[in-house]
Amino acid sequence: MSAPLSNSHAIGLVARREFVTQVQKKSFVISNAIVLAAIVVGIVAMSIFSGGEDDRPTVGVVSGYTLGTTLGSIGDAVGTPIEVSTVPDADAAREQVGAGSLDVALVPGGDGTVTAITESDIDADLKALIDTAVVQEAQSAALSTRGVDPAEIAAAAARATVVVEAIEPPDPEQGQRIILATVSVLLLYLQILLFGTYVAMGVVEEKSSRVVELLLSTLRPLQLLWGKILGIGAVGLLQLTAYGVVGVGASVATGTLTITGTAIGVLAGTLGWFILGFAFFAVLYAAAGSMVSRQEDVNSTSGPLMIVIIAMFFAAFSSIDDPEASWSTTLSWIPPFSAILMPLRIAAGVATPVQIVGTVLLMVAATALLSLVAAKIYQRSILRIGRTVTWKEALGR
Amino acid sequence: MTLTIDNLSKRYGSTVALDGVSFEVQPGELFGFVGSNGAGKTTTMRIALGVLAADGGEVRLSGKPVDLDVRRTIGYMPEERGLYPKMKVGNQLIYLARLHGLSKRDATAAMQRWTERLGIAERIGDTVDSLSLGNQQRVQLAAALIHDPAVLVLDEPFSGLDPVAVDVMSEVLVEKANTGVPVIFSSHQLDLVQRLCERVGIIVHGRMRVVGAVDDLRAEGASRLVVHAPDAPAGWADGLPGVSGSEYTEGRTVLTIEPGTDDQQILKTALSTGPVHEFSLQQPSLTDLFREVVAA
Repeated sequence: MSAPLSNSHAIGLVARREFVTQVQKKSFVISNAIVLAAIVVGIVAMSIFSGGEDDRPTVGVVSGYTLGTTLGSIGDAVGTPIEVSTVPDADAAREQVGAGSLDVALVPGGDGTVTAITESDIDADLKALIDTAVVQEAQSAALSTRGVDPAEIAAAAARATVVVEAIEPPDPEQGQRIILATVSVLLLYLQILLFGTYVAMGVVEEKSSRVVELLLSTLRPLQLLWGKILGIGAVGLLQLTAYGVVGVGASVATGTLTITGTAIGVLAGTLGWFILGFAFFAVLYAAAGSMVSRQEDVNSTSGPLMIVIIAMFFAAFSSIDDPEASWSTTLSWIPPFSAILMPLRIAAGVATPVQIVGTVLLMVAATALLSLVAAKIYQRSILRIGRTVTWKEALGR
Repeated sequence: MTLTIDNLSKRYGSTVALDGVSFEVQPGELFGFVGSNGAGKTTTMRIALGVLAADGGEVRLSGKPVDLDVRRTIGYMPEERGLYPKMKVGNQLIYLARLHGLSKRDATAAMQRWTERLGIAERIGDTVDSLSLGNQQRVQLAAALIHDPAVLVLDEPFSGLDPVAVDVMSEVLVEKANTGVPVIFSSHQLDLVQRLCERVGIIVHGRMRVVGAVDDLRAEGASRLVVHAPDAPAGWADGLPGVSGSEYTEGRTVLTIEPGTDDQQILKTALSTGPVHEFSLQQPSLTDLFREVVAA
């Protein structure tokens, strides 16, 4: 009844088992449900707390003075709208500041001085605006006593504005891009580390339970290796896609994120680079797993891989502020650092198409080369039960 | 189908594990593969299954070298038992059957048939690690049989089995052999090998010392002759042609005689001393032969 099995069929069977086994795990289903719920709740909460318009300062002016009007128009002119209200007298003003309904209350004195009443301290920007308004009031008052028309003064003041001409205007998307880049780096780091470890653990499980001998009587070692990597990688990709789609979806729906097109591009880039980064490390993790016989020994051979991944993470994290720094640009060409620095650059909007294509090709070439070495280690070590195989033995002749 | 093991050699560093191991297993034959621990049984079987590479020699099935496609038709039970501990029995067997190239439907049907046959049908929804050791062994046997193999290679299939499971296992092996499948298994339970197998091979330190039909080997070995002649004096049989050893205890005599000895001459001598109540020729058991071969 046995029939020949094509290479792709064999790999497909192994991959399917890995995929199904992983997604059917209770812990996997529950933890992902929690994470997805947390993403939605977090984003909704963020939009509620940061979304309100109520962060404009409230200033009360004792009735009978024009200072309030002047302050309001200056605030509008410089783009810091101020909510100005009138209060009956100094006592009422003090009371309202104490109660928190006013940030500042202004009580003009007889000789042009103004007392500003506040809880403890006045915001520096607001203080500057109040100073300007008070000075302008005093100047207009002085000029009008000399017979100048107050309307003329107002018109002259309104004309005197500064027009900004920037040589390199700031990217209005930059704030959101930095957030996207940070999230992308964090997710890639966690995902590569987690699913790389799953590969190592899966290999050790087969070795420690001895089922590998039965499997290798029907499969070539490389079919088993690639089936496992594909199956586990597919789960990782699915999980990352779910996080990304839910995260971007919730952000766009709540208005936290307004650059939908960019966000989708960054998501696609992150998924693509996950595939490359995971493949690079998965073959190494499989080799590391094949060298030990017990789960508790995995760290002894996979430790160096973790150090590289953590180094990648720190490199990426420190270049979020300035992705165009020359060290960061150089490093982003080098596999496997490109796997986490390139999606960061794509998110930050500083990656050129040439660089994207170039780094992808380099990464693919490096992975292909490495997978040959890793496959050799795997084939050599997978049936050696007992003592941990050393790197020297695994690589030596 | 004939399984041919041809001149296999294998070294581990400076240790010679196999040195020119050769034998054949004919269609429908139960072949017992015996030897001390570390003699090379597992290494030979692993090489036959391609799990291990030989340094020299070849394994053939019906004259064709065994490649991966041929190997998928072999049913294998490794010495190191192994299944996925957290996978359900049914799914696991279906998966293994599919790795042998069975379609999903055939794999499911085979899983049902074999779990029923081996008495573990009600456990197919349980994970392997929740089963008793004996039941895990049955799953392991089912894994070796699930794809209706053209050859069976079983490494210590009887170790760790309770007497009932031993009977089930024996039945299944005989049944498979009767359908024309060559069956080879290793075992330390030599009485079982003697009962089940037509032919045996004895391996010592990586070399095949003896290969042949169990009956021929036993006939060739030195036999024991038990004589109960109460009046015979001690030493009555010493010096008779063919007698190579003797033990006398209270009228009972146990003689070791060379193959081809004329036992009637011994009987006549015994009768000349008085009455003879018992005169029986006992062929050596496989255990006796094994001890002899290993000691030689």
